[in-house]
Amino acid sequence: MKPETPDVVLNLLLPADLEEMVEDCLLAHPQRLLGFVTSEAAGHGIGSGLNTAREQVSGHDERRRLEVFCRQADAEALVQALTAALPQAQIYYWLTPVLARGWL
Amino acid sequence: MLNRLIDFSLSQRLLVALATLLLAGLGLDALFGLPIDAFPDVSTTQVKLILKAPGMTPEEVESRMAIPIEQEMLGIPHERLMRSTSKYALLDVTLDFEDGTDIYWARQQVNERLNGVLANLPAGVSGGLAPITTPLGEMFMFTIEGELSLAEKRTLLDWVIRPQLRTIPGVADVNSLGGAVRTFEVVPDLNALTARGLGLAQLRAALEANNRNDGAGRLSDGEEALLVRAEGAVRTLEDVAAIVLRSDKDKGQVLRVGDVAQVRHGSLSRYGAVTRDGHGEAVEGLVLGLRGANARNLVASVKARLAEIAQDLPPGVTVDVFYDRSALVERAVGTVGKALAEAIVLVLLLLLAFLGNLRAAAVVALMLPLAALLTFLLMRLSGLSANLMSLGGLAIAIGMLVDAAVVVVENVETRLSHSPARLPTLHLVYRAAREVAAPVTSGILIIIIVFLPLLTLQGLEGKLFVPVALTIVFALSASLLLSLTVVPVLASWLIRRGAHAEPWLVRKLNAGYARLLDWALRHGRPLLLIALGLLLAAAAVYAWLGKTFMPTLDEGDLIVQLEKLPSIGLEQSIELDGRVQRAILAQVPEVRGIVARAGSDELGLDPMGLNQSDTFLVLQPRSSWREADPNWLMDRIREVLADFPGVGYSFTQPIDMRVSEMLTGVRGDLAIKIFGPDLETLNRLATGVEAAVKAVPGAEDTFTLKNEGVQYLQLGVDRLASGRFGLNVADLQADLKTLVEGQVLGNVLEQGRRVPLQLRGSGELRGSPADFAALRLPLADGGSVALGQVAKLQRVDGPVKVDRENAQRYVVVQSNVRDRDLVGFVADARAAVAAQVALPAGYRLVWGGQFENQQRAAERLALVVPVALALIFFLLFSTFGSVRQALLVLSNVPFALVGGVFALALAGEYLSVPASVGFIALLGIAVLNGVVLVSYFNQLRAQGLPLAEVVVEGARRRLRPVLMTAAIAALGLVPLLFANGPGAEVQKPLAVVVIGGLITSTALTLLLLPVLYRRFGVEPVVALEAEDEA
Repeated sequence: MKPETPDVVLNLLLPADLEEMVEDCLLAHPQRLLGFVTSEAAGHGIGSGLNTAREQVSGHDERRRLEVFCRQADAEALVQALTAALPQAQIYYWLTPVLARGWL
Repeated sequence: MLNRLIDFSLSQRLLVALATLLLAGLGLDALFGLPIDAFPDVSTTQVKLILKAPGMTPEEVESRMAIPIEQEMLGIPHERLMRSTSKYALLDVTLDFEDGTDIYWARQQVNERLNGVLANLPAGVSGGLAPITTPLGEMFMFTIEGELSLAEKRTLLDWVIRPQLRTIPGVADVNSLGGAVRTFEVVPDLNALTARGLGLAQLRAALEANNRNDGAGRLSDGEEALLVRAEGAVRTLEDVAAIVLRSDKDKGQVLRVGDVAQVRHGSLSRYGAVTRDGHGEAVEGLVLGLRGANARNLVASVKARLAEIAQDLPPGVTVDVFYDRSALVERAVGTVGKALAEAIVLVLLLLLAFLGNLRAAAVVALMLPLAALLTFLLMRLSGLSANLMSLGGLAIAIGMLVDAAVVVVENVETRLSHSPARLPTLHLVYRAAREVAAPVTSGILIIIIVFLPLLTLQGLEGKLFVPVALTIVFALSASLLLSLTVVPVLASWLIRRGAHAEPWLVRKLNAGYARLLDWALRHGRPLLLIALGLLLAAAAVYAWLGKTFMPTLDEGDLIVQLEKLPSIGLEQSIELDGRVQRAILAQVPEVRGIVARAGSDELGLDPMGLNQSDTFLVLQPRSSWREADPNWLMDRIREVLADFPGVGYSFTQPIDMRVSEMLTGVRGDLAIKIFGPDLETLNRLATGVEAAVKAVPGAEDTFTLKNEGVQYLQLGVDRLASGRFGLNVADLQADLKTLVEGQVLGNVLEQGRRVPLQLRGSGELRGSPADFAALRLPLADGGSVALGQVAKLQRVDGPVKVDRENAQRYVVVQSNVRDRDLVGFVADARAAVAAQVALPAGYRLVWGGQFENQQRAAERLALVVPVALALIFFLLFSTFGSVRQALLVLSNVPFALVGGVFALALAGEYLSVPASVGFIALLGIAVLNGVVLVSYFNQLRAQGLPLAEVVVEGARRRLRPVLMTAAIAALGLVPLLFANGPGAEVQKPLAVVVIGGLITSTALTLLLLPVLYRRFGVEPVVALEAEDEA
């Protein structure tokens, strides 16, 4: 199936340092995704490791959020590829369905 | 901010390229505009007063001139030290001001105070502030050769050559030495004066009153105006003889000067002389450069002017140059230039071997000239001159200059060879540069910081090493800026994408390192123990290493200072100089010519006694010596001088001599000053100290200036007797001074030349003490009186000079040290002196000389180096955000020093100031390597690799940049190791330390740091769960 008709968004939450490595990894699979957007995010609650003094002061950890538009099958393949490339990286992911999309 | 800088450069590549070209152009311009000299200007702000008091004895000079002047000069703001030397007929007062005091301001202060006291000084005192020159000031020396008499040569120098040379910009003065100053001399016939009932005072008055032209105003003559001119100036000897002393109207007789005195051409009393090549006297000119003058340009202009003057000189007369500073400058700059060129070639070869990519190597290599040009620009902006030390700094920095560029280019190359095809090249370059920007910046900043302590050095060591440190700081800053702007731009243009094979060298190194690292990680504990063992061994070696101030700079010229018996006369001193010269010329073929000056020079800048002479040896080129070693040559000359009993001697070099004099007032490695009130006691103590120091092993050329043994003929004026004859003490003294020393009563203008008109006793009178005692002084009311009737004549021994420092008398014992370290020698000497010489109350010893500088430098470094380490720690902490990692990298430092210590010991060098500079540089490089490695470990850990893999993978990936930076820094210094021109002896210990240290530091960084990081590098994570559980 062509990536031009994505039906899910693969959401990735990762440490800021890893942004480029994850991007590289995703870009290595152009046939599996339509594209992705990145944004800054703050992690709160259980699962957030407060490693640096700055994170401890602000009370949340500094993360990047990637939203990858792709087909569900491709999303699973991408998650596997990422796990293989960055085995112990602290990357959290979840999938959300795309109900509708298009240009206004 | 760094990211934005790289981002901007890469998006504005053309702009960056143009700006680079512009800066390079400015740098080239700066390179050609920089003032060039052999050494940095080492002078402090120093004001010198030179006062001449013809005929006065040292103790008179001290009590009547030195003491009142000192009282007035004490307490000038920013004054650091005041020294005075009272000698026969001369007073030298030296005032040292704190560094950074404006010299013109200081001179103003001294002048103001001098004016206050000038009126209280004895009559006939002349002089004042000496020219603004420095120990580097004596730039050009020549003699006048040809078939002229000494007086003619001197006239030629004083009235033709000197005025012409003084107009050259940068010339402070031209000192004339030797020869005789021609005078119009009036020699009174004392019997004739007595017979006519005249005293010397009347003769003096008549001569003074009858030698002047003047204007008298204006007259009207119809429509014209006439200017009235009364002409009465003396022009010829006949004019002098025709001056009327007295007229007798009754008898219609007049008494003229010619009737009671002989009028002839004579010469002024001489206080010094110059001899050349063992065949008699010569006349020497000495060009003094102004403070801050460009030596090369100055000498070039002097030469050009002398060539112009040569056409106007009488036929057969030539100017023979025997010292030319530009030769030393060329050699010094040549040595460093050669080392620089060789370093660049070596660095290029290494780059090629490590990168295996000509384009990548070219990008890095381009940084060398660009950074150097930018450095020249910064040097000019900060007013630094190009000299042995500042250029040496650049040579030292060559290896470090490319460090930043190497790390950036290496990463760009790696990135471009394995990267997703879809990303644009510019982005990959950006990313590669950004990745290493932080570690490179903090690494280079750390190297810069370690050099900052050097900027705080004071005194001589500061004057010498601040330019080194500043140049290095400039060069590194330039290289950092270029690495983050120009390097990415050039890399984006030059380096191609796509994978290429690793070069052979790197493959082999990788394979070998993998095995070694594996072993190291498996044997962490033994490795740590080995390292600690090495550290302890190095500490032991360090304690054993000799410590000294600085290796002596080889200027390529040699001066032998001769010291004869204090009571020797000028003629005999000259004759002895001649014999010494003939002996040296005959037995030591390496000496091509000799110019010696005995006694004082005309300006009084170098007030030696008649018994002292500076013998300047003009040497053959070193390549033609039997053995190309200055120490060997000195030994040959010592052998020759051993045949002259009673002549003391010491060796020095032209600049070295003046520098030592300026700093301590004495020459020599060790100068022991004994302070106290009584000259005799001081002399006795000095002899004792001299004997004690001489017996210490390593002592060479130990001597104390013979401060006694000058023969005085002392006249005790009988007040009653002299009063009875109507003679007061002042009249008596004035008459005696006139008869013996001579008194200048005015000038005769002869074609623009001012020839002194002098009243002086006959030569026979000065030739025999018996004739002098029998002298009959004419009295003003007629009649005469024998000298013996009004004064008691007595021969006594007296001092040569009186030295004072901060208004207290002192004598100096000085010594050089050979084949031994200075600090150890001084410790032994102190013990010996303490055991053998008992100091009476009111007397104290001060130990100075080069030794003093060493102590001060060590003290200063002990204070500032810890501060620098703290700064480094701070920088490391802000890079890693972790105390333990900052400490981890810092722990690398002691291990880096291990190799430096061993290398020094192996090379047989002492721990000197340059070696300390080497250790400082080493510190920086070691930390830089640690930063590169640890920051990459952190990066890998963030990717989630397990710790064991992080250290293996990280160390292997960073092997190439770490080895490259270390190898380049070390190889860049190799040329300095083998250089042997002037200045090489200063840079060699530095190179030895850095090369030796880099070997151990690199080995330890690559093997020990992974082990340490695995053990200590990571701190436990604080997570919210943990708090929940608690």
